[in-house]
Amino acid sequence: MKTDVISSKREIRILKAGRRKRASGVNLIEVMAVTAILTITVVGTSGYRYYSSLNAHWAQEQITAARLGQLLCGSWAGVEGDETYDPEEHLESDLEVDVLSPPDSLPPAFVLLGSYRITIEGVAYDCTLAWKDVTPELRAIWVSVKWDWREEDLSNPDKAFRKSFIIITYV
Amino acid sequence: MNKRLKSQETGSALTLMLFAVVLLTLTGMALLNLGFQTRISAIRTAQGIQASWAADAGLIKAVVEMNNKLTAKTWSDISMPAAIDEALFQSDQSFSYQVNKDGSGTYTVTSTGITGPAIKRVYATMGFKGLFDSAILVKDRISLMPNTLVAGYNSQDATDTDFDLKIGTTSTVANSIPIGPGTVIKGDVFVGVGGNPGTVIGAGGTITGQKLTLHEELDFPVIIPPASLTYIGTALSATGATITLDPTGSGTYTGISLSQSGGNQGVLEIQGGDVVLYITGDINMGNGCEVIVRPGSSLTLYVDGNISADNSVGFNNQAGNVRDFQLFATGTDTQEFSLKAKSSIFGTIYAPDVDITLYPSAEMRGAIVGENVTFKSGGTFYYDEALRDNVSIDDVGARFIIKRWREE
Repeated sequence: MKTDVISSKREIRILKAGRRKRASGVNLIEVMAVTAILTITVVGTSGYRYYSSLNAHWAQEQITAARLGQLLCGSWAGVEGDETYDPEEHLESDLEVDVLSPPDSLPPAFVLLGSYRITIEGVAYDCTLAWKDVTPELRAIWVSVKWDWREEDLSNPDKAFRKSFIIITYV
Repeated sequence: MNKRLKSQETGSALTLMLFAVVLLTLTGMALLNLGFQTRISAIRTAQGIQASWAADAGLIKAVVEMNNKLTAKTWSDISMPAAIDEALFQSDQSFSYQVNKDGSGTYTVTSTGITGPAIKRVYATMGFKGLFDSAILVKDRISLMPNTLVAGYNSQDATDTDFDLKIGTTSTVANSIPIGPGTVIKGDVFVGVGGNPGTVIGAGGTITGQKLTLHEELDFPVIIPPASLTYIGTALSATGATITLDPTGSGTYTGISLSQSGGNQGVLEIQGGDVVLYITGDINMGNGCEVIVRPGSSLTLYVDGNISADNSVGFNNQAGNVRDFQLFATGTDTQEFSLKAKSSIFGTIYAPDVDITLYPSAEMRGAIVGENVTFKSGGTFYYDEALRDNVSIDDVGARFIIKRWREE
């Protein structure tokens, strides 16, 4: 019985020694594996975060363009699509407005009112305003806002492509 | 037991790692989804703005179509203007609209704008605008004799004592509204867009209201005689006699000529109902001659030519209701109207390109739109506010306007 106990203690020591040996080896592999996987995961998560912030940036530009179009359309419609409407005069107190030359392209049969570059938070929005008399009582006004939208690298203008937001309404 | 210990130690690291991986992956995906949703939200916002403008476009077009029908006198409550999925110049924006009339007789317009999945609706309650929002409106000059009184009344509401009256010009030329000594205008006086009331309005007299500058150009609708009138092709002529017209005599005539003979005056008598005359030429009224509108009748007169009057002649609207005598200038050449009355003039004159000279012996009640308006005899001009406040779809020149609107 005593022998059994000793034997059992020995076995435990042997087992402990063996376990330490085996456990530390496994842990190293595990730690390395965990480190690798965690690194990949963290890098992947950073990618998620990058694309998330990129999406937020695109969304901000899209909303800014839409609201700019809304502002121009509302301001012009407020004077019933007058041919003498001048965004520089109406909006320059709040926005940085420059005349754009040459003017942007127009839809068929529309008459150009003007083309302007409005810069907001470092992004240049090219705005074109045009009109067309559908009947003597009904005038269509067309407001286009275009800006450079970079798909991947925000700092690389070569990777930009044009996005546009257009509003048409009657006055 | 060995297996249990081994399993426990290896499993905890793996579990922790898996837990961390899952947590980070979920966090990343949540971030990605958040960004994606922000982008979707931005697109929806942009589409909502486009849909809103499309709904506005539908409303504007509906009002134009409604007014075109009114002008062409083809308005019918049975077939009111409507549009379904009308695209705005091949863009993503489209609109639909429909006009309804409720039990109280109020017209409403519902316009729906669509861009992609975004839908916006505009609901508008319509009212009417007549030709006479102002007591006297001219494109050029108003000449009031000294001691003239311009005041208001309301033929539809005897209890109304708070009158909102205005006279004005769309001109910005200095002294376009000279106000003589003793003249009193019980209301506002306005001048054209960009004009200086201080120079356009004379310094004499008294203005109880304000001197104002218009913020936008006023429009002067073109009035077209009804196409349904029977073409008679001759002049209405009375020499020392009376000719009587009832509604069956309505039609298109080449002129009106009233003259005295043998001590008898030439008289054109309107009775038996509503008479509409389109005069393609001139109206000449000799000494003492009259156009008499009997009570219970009305005369609507469209004139392409001039109106000239000798002494003691006039338009005699016996009932005194200003809507019973309406005069419209419809000529394309230069016209001049010279109107006299043996007593008072009751009626409305819409002649935005005509020089109008008035000689009321007593007073004039109604409203005037002209190029130049001259009161030769002073006296009193009373503007009937009901001409502005009680406009109906049957009034000549009435137009639909948006009274209230809301968007959803």
